[in-house]
Amino acid sequence: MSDSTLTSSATSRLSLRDRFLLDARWYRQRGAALSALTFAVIFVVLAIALPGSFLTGRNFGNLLGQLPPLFIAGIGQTLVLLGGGFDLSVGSVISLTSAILALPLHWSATVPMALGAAIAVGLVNGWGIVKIGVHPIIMTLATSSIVQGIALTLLPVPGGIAPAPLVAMVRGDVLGLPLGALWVLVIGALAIGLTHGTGFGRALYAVGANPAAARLSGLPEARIRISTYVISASSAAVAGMYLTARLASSDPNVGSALGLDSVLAAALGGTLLSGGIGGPIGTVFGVGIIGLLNNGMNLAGISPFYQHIVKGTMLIVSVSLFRRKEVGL
Amino acid sequence: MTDVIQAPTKPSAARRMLRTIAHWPPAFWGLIAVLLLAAFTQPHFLSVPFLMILLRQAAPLGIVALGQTFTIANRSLDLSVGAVIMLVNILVSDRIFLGFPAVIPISVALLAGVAVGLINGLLITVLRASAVVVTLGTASVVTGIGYLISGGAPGNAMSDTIKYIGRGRIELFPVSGLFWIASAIIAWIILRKLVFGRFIMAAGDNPSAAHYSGIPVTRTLLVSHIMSGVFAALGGLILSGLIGVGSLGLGADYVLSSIAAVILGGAVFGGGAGGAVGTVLGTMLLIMILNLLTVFGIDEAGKLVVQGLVIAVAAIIYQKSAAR
Repeated sequence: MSDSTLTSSATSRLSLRDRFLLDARWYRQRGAALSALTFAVIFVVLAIALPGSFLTGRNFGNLLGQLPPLFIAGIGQTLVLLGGGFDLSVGSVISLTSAILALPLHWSATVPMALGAAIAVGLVNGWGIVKIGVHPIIMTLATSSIVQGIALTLLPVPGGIAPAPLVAMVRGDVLGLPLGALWVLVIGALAIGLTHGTGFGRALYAVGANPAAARLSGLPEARIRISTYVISASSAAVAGMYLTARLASSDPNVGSALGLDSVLAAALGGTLLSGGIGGPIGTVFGVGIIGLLNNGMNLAGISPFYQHIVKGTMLIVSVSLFRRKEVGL
Repeated sequence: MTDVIQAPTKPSAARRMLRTIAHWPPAFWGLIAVLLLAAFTQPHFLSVPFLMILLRQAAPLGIVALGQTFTIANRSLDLSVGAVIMLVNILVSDRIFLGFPAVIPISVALLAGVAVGLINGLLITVLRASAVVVTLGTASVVTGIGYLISGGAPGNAMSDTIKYIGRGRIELFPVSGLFWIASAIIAWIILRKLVFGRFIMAAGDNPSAAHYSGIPVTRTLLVSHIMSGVFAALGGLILSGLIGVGSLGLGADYVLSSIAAVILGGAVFGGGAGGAVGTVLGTMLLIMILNLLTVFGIDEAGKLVVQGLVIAVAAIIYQKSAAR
């Protein structure tokens, strides 16, 4: 009961619901509770301060349409962070996906190409970091530069028409719910199921908390860490597809801000950068906080200059709440 | 029995020399390769006037990278150097300083660098927050402050002294090159000759061991970040002088490039390695490669690819050789 990774044979007999509760009660999720509280406070403040513009169906529709790319990329980043890594190449992969979708080919060719390219980036990141031992920040900084360069080579200026089926998948609504919300629900459920409901998830927490111990316990530590980079790159590709479809056009720089925002979303959600603590539940609220703050500052007519300051301060505060043992990176 | 405790025989002079050469930074060999390539394909590249132009262009990056050397050798990272450059650029081109002697804006700029470095260092050491996230956060805040000061429209009231530092020449030799050399000598003395440099290397190599050996690990890290802030501000000052006007978004590409230069110079996170000479060579190599690519007609996108490849290859080669 005290450590779900050591009692894997016992927990594997538990139902999905019990296992989820076990993980959710676990102190690793304390950050998620805090960020849910922060989310609620910001929501109430905005609702009181801007009732006319904030509490409207139209604004919520906008919010739900805007948030999925950050949410999807943030979930991928969360898994990498849980495994003790760091992925700075998320933004470039989003841009590359957008550039590939603008190629003069049928969408049945460009969509698999974009996914394949992302998986390749993830594998290269994982190989360099796990097999060669390059520091995650250096490795993903390098691949980020390479991938951004390729994106700009494929598509030097914004343009192209997004594939019609993708556009259909982000516009409109189902049962009164915007399609963006459906993306969030599906991907959120998949991510929470993966981390809290499968052996992979348990192994991921173990690897992130203590890689050497995980390896000695017979967990495929290298494979798990590599797969987090592949998942992160693939989710960045999905985020890039959503973004391209929403803009109805491609832009080779579309992801540049999302790389860092994905780290911000995960950190605000209580996922520690040292690995093994946090999870996608917190990231849901982390993304929500970023979305509400951006939305609120826009509605209140606050200069975007202040938004830089607020975002940076939030990032610093969110990582300062949980003291780590080590100092430095 | 005596064989066992016998002291190892001293390696021959040739072997010792080989061993020393093997420890030279990757940038040294890269620089030789690039110079050879240039000599055979673009001979005018190696003419003295052109090299002086390259030197003037490389000086701001060279100085910023020297500051980054302190943090990376100390197992940390400063992602706020780009924002510091931008802030310095906005500050020194602001109309407020019209009519004041140049020493005022220069001091304000350097103090801004100290302040950002100090805040980074305090957050990282006192709150023990991750250096990556802290410096990303301060970068965002500093960028916002820069925008606010400029009001979206940066001024162009830059003092002629700052322009002279950035653009001026003594005969053929650029003034900014002199600043780079002076910075490199200061960084070399601190890292190689002072006890503080030993502290940085020890803390970077193994923070716990350094702590238990009585080395003031946190204070060392704090000072490393202040050094990085000051050097970034000086680099920003020289870059501003070179450009001559205030410009929003200046310096954004210096974050990646400064890290690239340091890694090419042989430093790695936690390696407790790297130094001023390596970083200077790394900067030269990076600027050489980027300019050769321009000569060969490769665009910005291609340069991003090459820069990323160079970082990845240097890091992989280093890891492979360190593992052996």
